[in-house]
Amino acid sequence: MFRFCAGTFVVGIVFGTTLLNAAAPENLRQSFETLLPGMGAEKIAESQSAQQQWENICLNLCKPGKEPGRIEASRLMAENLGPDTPSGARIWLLRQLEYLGGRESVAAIAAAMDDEDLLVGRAARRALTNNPSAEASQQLVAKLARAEDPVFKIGLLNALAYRADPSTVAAAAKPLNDTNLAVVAAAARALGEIGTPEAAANLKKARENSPPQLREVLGNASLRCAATMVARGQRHAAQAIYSELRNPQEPESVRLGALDGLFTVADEHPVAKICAILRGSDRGAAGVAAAQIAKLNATEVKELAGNLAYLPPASQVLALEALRVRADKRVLPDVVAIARSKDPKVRIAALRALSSVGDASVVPLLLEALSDGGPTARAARGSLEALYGEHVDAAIIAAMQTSENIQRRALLIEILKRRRSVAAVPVLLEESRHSEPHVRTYAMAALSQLAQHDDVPEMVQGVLVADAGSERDGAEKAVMLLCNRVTDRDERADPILQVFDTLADEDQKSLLPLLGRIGGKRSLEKIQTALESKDPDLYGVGVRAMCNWPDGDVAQELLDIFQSSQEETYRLQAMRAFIRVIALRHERPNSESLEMLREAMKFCSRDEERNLILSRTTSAEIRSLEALQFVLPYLKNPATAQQACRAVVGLAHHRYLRRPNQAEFNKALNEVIAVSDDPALVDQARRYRSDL
Amino acid sequence: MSDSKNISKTETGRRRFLQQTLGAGLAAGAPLIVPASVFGADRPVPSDRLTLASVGVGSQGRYDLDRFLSQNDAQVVAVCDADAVRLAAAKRRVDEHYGNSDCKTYRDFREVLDRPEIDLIHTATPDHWHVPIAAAACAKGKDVYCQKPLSLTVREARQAVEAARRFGSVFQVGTQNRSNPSARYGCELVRNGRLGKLKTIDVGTWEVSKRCWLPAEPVPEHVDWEMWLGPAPYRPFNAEIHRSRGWMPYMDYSGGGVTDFGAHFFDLVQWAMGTEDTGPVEITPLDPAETDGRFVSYKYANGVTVYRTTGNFMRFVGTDGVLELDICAWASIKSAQPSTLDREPIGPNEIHLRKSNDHYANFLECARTRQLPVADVEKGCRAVTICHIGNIAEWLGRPLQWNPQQESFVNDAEANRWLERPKRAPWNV
Repeated sequence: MFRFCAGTFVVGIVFGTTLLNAAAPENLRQSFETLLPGMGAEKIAESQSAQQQWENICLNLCKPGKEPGRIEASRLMAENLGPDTPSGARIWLLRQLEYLGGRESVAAIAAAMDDEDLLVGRAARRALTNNPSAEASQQLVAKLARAEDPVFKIGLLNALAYRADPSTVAAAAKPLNDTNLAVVAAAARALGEIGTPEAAANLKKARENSPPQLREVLGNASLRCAATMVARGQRHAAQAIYSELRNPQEPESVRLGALDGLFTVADEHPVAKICAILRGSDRGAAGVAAAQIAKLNATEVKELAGNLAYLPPASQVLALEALRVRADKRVLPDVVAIARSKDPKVRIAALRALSSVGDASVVPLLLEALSDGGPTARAARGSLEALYGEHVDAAIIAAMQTSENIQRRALLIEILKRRRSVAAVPVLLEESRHSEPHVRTYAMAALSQLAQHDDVPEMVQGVLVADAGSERDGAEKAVMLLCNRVTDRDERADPILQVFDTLADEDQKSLLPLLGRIGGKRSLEKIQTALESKDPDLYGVGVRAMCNWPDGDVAQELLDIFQSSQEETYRLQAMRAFIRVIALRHERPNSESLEMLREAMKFCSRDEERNLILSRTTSAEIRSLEALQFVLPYLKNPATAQQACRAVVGLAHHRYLRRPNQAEFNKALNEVIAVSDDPALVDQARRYRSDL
Repeated sequence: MSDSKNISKTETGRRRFLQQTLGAGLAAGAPLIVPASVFGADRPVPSDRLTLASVGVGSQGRYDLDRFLSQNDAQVVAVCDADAVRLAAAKRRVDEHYGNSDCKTYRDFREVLDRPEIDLIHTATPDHWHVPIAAAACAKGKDVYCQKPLSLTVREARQAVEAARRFGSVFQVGTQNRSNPSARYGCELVRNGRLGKLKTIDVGTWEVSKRCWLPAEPVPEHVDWEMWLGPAPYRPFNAEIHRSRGWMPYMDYSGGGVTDFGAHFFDLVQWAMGTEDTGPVEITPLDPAETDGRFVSYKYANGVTVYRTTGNFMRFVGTDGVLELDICAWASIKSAQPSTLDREPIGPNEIHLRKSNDHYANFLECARTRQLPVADVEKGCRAVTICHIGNIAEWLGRPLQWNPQQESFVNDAEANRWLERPKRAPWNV
């Protein structure tokens, strides 16, 4: 026997040979004996290398046609599962045997199950569980016969369940009489997985004498048995089990499972049976019956729908939900008939079902239900959004155009947006210039998702008529979203610039903030022209436009405005925009960005801006140890301490940053824990500190 | 599996809870219903809300928790985690939201499942716990919102489907792109042939998971390490594994970046191609140095080849066009050729994919109506299976043939041994 001598083994890819050579049967022993000492080494780096190499060899043998090599490797490992091999190596070998071992290794693995080291024993059980040989079953059965510890018994029964070997029925059945209920449950589960008539017979016998707390476990195992039999084509045997389990003495969940099983194995026409159950008072059974609607053929579904009116309301709801997902338009007349039910739950279920079984003819009905408010209106709206069919869009568009109720008009625009109704774009362009701001707002939001780039010039009119404030803001964002679909940033504003020069001065001025949002060289030129203007109003709009800029490339321009502007308002706007854009995508080295934040901090006279700067230090463009050092002094100032705490934790969140800088982050996180008034942040800081 | 199936369910826990509460309330003379005005006019009173417990409240769990807190028709009543610090933070968040201190805390999910009045279980644990918890929740009559990826193994994913179907549970997988209008529209364009005949799809993900050799460290007092490990093979504590998403690179707990991102985007592959009840038939590991960063190819029976590649994009290439989604920007359309492609309406007689604009609301709605949710467990199962079989091909370093109906490798007993892994006792599915 090879004796272990840590530190004397050779690490390296199996003495320089290739993996294929190392895995060749004639080389296996040499490879194994070279690697085995390392597999038990105490130093992780050494054991990892040897273990990894041996596993690579094993994986290479895990292949049809490599049986001689697999057997040889399995034997080699089996020979070394004894106490001369360190536990770590034995566990590793057992992990390989879990997917590589066959009958040749069973005896050794079984012996390892009794190892004093519990972890070795557990690894052995797993290896035996996944061993495909009949001998493995025999060993597990033998162990079970002698087992006393309940957890060990459960482990063995779980192994029998995993293997589902019919030869183990008698062994699995014996513990059904165990005094430990968890053991009985494990035995029942094993028999359920095995799923033979013999297993079913044992379970039936156990059910007859079982205490109440075990009836559900045993019933479920019997159901599992029956399902396995159905899969094997033993329908009559399964049917007998299902019928037994419909007994009123069985727990409800078992009886309902059995009813579901009976539907599965039934040969007769199911609609009459489904309807009979749906008409009854057993709500659980009604649920099972409704579930069968999915399995009906088209003729049967139509027949069932014809019975809808004769069902109690609760069953109508169940059936309508099933018809909704079934989406068979042939049942439309039946669903429409019931959609006017006085029972609100039935009406809602029918309106929902119309989403999939309906067509353009139900649009008026759904529009009418929109007026009901509450859950009925929500159901109708959902169906209007989901309904598809010829002329549906046209019907909704027409309803929208003729609606004089502003709220309803806006709602229908929203519905068209959610329908992705591209056909509505021409109408929505008109609506974007509607006299009512509410309608215009919804129209522009819809256009942002439905219009094409070519529609932008017309949408510009929507921006120009929008009221200042939130409406204008939303309109600009809608146009910006469309423009941003163009890959080249310098071309994004082109459709706006096409019309820009044709507009009156006032309109041109109004569009500058939009150009600022979109960016690009030509937009910048227009904005810079405004900034050079002597007209204070035009200058102010130019500042606002520059402050909208979408990336960090205009940081210097913003700083220039801050430093040159005479108006305190513009200076403040420019400073805040400057702080914002520094952390956005830009074309300068990241290291410069932190310097720019430092510069900005010098200019700040208010804590709001100081806190804003601190909040930007965690962005990808700033994040660094230097950023942490920049933040730390602000933990001392009560006005900035809470934001500084968030910044420190935000930086510490990144392992690649915190781990190489343990000392700095340990100190900083300790300060956060002492200073922060946010318990969640303190928790987070503690976690990061414990992971340094 | 079709969308058109609804789910049966026994008397819900919520109703039982209401009956119990009614009795208790009368006995104590306490008001039964808080007036709606307390919550705002449009907010349902508590008795109309579904009760929810969150299991696993690390970073993703807290994200989900916030989304559930914002739903008017759900009430978060309990949180559970093996880490007492995370648990306390989650409770604080819930209590602050509701302005009370009612949220209960648990270290063991089984105690949560034993509460009959809880209707919904949300689980955002590490991946190795997903199916054991979710399947146990189904067996207790709960509906489940399970974070993606659905499972640690192929077989587990199928077991999750079986549990959901057996117990009639609504089971939503957290593949939120199913509720993303942009992703849905992209899939509709592909599905309706706007790219012509589809040829290839590239899916960017991070890397496959690997073995773990991190050193042992002392277990912090606030961590129940045995419970955290659960069904995974035992290994000593290490803070790197325990931190949020720190377990993800390791194969005992996760399929790595492949299942993390792949669960989303292979799901979109399936959605776009209409192959949601099947999968690829041939999987081949590739050398990324020779294939422009591609790691695995998946051939489908329909002739399309899907590649797992690097990068933050998903690219559909057809004979008449190319569509690229930005997978780091909520699957928005990054580029389209021709450029007008992404403004084309989907005609009335074309395929319209199921619409949901809020993944959490869709789950709650389906819990009420007993319909299959938009990211039903079957779809989650198929998507994560693609990730898993690609990982297996990478680990084994060889091409594999896959039978998507039987969900097993063809004539390959060796590879089939990787479809499931034995669990640590007493855990099972």
